[in-house]
Amino acid sequence: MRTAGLRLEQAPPLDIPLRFFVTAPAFTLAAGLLLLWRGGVLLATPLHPAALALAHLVTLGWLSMVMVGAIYQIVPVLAGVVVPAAGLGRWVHAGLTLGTAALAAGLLLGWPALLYPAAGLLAAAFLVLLAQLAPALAGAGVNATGIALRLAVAALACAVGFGLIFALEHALGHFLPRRSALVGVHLYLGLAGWMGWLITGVGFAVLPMFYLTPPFPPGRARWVLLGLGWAVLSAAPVLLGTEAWPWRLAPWAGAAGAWGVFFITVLGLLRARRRKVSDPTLALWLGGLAAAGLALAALAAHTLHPAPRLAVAFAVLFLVGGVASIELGMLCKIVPFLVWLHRFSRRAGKEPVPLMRDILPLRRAERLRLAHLAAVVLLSAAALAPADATARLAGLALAGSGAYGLYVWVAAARFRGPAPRA
Amino acid sequence: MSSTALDLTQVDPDERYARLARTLTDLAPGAAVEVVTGEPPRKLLQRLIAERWGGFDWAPLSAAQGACRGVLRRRETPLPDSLAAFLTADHARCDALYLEAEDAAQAGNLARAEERFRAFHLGMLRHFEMEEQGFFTDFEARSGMGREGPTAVMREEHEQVRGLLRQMGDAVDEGDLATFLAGGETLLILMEQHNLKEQQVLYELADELFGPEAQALLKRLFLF
Repeated sequence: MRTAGLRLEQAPPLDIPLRFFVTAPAFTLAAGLLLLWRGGVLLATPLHPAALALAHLVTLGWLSMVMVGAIYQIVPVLAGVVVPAAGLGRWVHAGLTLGTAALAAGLLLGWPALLYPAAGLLAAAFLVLLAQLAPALAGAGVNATGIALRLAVAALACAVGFGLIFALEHALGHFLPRRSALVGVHLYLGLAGWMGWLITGVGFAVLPMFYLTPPFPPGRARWVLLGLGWAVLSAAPVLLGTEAWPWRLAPWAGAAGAWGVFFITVLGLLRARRRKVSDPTLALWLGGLAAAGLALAALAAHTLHPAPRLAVAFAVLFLVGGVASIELGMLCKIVPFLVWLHRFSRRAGKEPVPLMRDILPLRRAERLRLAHLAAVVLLSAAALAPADATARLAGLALAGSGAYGLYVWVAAARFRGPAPRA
Repeated sequence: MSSTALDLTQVDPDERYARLARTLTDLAPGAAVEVVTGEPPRKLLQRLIAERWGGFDWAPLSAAQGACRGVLRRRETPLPDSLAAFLTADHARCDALYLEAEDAAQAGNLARAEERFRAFHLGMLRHFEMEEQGFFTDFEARSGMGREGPTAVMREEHEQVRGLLRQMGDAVDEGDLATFLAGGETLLILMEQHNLKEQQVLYELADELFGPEAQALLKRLFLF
């Protein structure tokens, strides 16, 4: 019986997830400024070092920053286990922040010397994270969310491993054979594995919780996880083994199947939900899922007809349109709730206390959503119809949404009052 | 949902149980009836539990002095000896009452919002009492974890929910539906993450721990 180590606390301390959530929009801002500065060249040549800098500001500094902060919070609630030595999360945050900044700077400025500390900091941050999560997840439940969390963390470890080798290559010179195929494997691990498994696994649990839908059917959840598993596991043999196009679509087919099952199920659950209230977070979930579908269409087109702009369109639609939108939707619930829980819940009922809506006013959430949407639309346009001015405009929009996000999340994190109208 | 009402206060006290039992028999499987008992229906329930166990669900809607009401539902399938099934269903029942209150508040119907909120509030307080004075105490003794284990956190979260419910009740009293709805948004996340932890961890563990002996505890919980 699973009584040993059974803990249901609201762990960890408030500052652990919040520091990740507040840092992420700073990287959004940095990514936007970089695009504003360098313009269309970043979207025309995906493997250019400056484009790689942009890609990692987004994937590590922005998206994974939020995901790592969330995982510290989610594992105790959804898996019923405590992440050991939660305070180490502060060091993970420092390593991820400084490592990503050094990686981007090293790539951008062409200073290989910066790539060594970048690789060291990121390796250390992710190793500590893995050391914390491995024992916690070993004791987690075997429901779909628990399995998805384990798979996501395993995929993260592999994706980071590849990433570290690539970073060393940039410093030392290329030494890997079949490099572009290995980059594809790195991408499948990071995007379908780490991001795909984490978002769907968390979605299984939080969609019913946030929107009072019926439970996510376990049979469907299994197909989603298996589809992503096929995408991740088939990527290496397929990409390394063949150039023939029908086969090259095999890993894509797994991801597309997983997305299809997840999307259709979520739509069905939302239609059957008992709570009819709509809010910006729901629009972000649905918009994110739709964008991920468009991203998969772009990826299929790229597999059949490898044009750089299709690869960039996939990246923009999947990362900024899909993953970032869904993350933003969840943050709009999680951040005000955590601040409320840690600062006000114990006083509720004894005196009138502020509510989530005081910590994150609805109009701010709506503005955040619109600023993000503007960035997604302009980035997609800049990817599909490359023009320097569009790319710079998209960079400006992205920087604007990052700056506004920074303002909103810092304000929420610092919120301590005022006392509401009695 | 209850369609008709059975007012037992109009029935001779000696006849009340017979009327209640007959009403239950006449209900279609899955159908429910609202029952006005006036006084707390403990004795009626004890007899119903003794004679008709497993065939019905009962939940109070009002515990006001002299105006006690509740919902009696004929079950479609016999009640399993499972704390997880019973307590999870009660979570869903309370959620549904809250959503009715929220719908009414959004439509600006203060009277209906207030009536549904009171039923929801009562349902939540009863659920917490069933757990704190029945389920948790037995669980703590059986598991050997005492009051320091996972139930301690659950009790603390119950306090947080109780506090927020009081604040929402004050808003309803003042006719302030905007604050009521804002409170509800906070409450839902607090309540649902709490329910999720109970359902995914504690209740499942309880079913392993109690096995068929859950029935005796369930019979006690019905009387809260």
